[in-house]
Amino acid sequence: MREDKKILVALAGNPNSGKTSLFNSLVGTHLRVGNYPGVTIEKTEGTIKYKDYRIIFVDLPGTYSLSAYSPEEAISRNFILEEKPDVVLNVVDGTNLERNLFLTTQLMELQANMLIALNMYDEVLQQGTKIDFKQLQKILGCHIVPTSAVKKEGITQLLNHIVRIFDSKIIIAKNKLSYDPQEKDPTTLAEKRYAFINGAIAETVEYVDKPIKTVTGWIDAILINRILGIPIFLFIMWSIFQITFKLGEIPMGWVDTGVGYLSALVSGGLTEGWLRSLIVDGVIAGVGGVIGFLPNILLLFLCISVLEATGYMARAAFVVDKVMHKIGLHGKSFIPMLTGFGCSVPAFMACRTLKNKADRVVTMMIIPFMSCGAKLPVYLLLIGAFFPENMAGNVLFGIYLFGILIALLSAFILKKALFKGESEPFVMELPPYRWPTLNYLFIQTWIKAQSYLKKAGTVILLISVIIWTMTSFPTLPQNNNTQSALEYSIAGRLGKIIEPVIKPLGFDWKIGIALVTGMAAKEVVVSTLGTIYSLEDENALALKDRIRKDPVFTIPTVLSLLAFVLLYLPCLAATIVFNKEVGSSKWTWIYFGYTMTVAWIVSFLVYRISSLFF
Amino acid sequence: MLLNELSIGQKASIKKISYMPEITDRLISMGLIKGVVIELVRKAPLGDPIEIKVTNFLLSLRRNEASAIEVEEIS
Repeated sequence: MREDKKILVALAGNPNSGKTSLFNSLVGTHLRVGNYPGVTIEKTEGTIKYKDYRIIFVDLPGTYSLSAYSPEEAISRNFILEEKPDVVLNVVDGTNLERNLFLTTQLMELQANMLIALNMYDEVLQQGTKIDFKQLQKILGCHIVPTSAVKKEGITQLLNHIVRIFDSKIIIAKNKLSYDPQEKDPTTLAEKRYAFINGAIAETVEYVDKPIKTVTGWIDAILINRILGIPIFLFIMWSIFQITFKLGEIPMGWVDTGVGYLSALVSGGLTEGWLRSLIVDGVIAGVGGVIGFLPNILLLFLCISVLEATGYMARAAFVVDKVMHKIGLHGKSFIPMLTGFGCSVPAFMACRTLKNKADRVVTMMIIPFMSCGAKLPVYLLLIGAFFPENMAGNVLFGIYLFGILIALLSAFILKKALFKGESEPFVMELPPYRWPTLNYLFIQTWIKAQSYLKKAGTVILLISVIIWTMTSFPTLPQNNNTQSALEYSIAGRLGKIIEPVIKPLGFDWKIGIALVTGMAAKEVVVSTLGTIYSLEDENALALKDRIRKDPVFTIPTVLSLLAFVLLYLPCLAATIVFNKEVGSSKWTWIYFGYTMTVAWIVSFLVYRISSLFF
Repeated sequence: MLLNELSIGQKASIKKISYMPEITDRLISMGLIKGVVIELVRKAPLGDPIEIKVTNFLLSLRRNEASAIEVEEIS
């Protein structure tokens, strides 16, 4: 059997050039996300089979340039020099040639085997711009394929070109630069590059009045104008939370019902004993409780992806930078912070774009206060049980807002206390508004769903079983009438031990157990409560109704519990990633101490103050 | 005059970019070099950062970063 020939293709291009969309169109769902060796920058690659070939696509980080000033640039440069890809697919935004070709000249300087994808070609045509491809190809020495990620055009041509380059059927001319790339002074070198680029464009491109997208201009005139900018921003953030809660309610109800049926089915089918208890109270109660929240989490991730893909994210950073900067952060900190609303793990990784150590560490330390997706099940459970439906969305928004406030306050304090360094530059492109491709949104959300379910199937399943064991053993002897089975178990005893510390916050030992297990993964707070209350109460009620029956849950307790879950140490996975990203365990310990202290003090205050009113 | 001194809607051409650590490289790689024409589009709702139009795209930067760019007004 003949083995497929392997082709390595690296995609390089500016941020916002549609490179990732193009990558998705080429690779579909056959992708894999990992890390570049030595650094924690995401490496996305995917392999497809095309004719007799296996093509491996690596999506290099988006960069404006290949000098070695930032980790992304260094990674891209090194990848091309060391891995020597068979083809470097340079994705160029056709509506922005002057700037995009700057990277192109640098790729030419590296003598890469280039193929240019002139992306957003549909927009180029719409603008009336005419490009002489034949002549431009001659000037740059390589082929240019017009593509449109939105219209999914040009993909097959790209694949054919890649194969032909690999088979040496296309020869790339590598001596086309009109200047000496060894020039030492960066400003002079830049000027020479632009001279080359402008010469090429003057010869081959005919603009119609060089328009900038006026639609973008009109939208921006409303969305980021001096008066409406901030209210609109707050409104958009608020809407996201309403969508997550209201829309998410419906599929969540279906899952709850399904889990209930399954539970009853198994209870009816097995005889009473530890096996039945393990399955019904351990596995089904634990994992089932968490899966119900998948729709909500997907909606949240979907909203964040839409903001990113449409281009609004950059506007949000623009509006918010002044405030960020005042507390010592950066408008760009906003995006990792917003990602933190989904999950702390990618948010910590996103902090890599903050080159300055002070900015990076402080942003990372406050990200956990941006309530992550895993905490959402806990909030939804408590809010659903104790607040009327019409208030629910507002309480949820209130929690998030509260987290943000504590985060901003912390940033200010931490920056002053731990660092007095300089901040990172803000220079940032505001890309034209674009409709996100459904393909891109689907793939992004699918990736998140996969990892959430994987987490449920493994970590949470394992922990549910462990918790069930801790809560069921040792079993209560027959003659013991003074304690309940739960109090006698390992978990119960552990809960009792920490009870004095958490009593001032309005918690009891049962809540204590849930908080301890929640350190492994936040959703587990729900699983644990699910198991604890399932063991205590044999009626087939939903967890929501069971906790409502327990008198320890007064409104002040609910509020302080919400605050505590919001603020205390994030899950094990996030803490491990934090440690890796920040590079030293000293910061991790500071981080541990800080979050626990803040959580305890704030919960205490919330409990005491709300006790005066409720 | 400096870029951060322009008023909204004013067009200018870049005369010189002074050295500011990390900023200068970024500006150059995005196409801001001598002779390029830029226009001040708006200031953020809180007054900072500012948004400028450069060749075919929109760029935002803080006012103190903009002070690295010396410009000459075009009427």
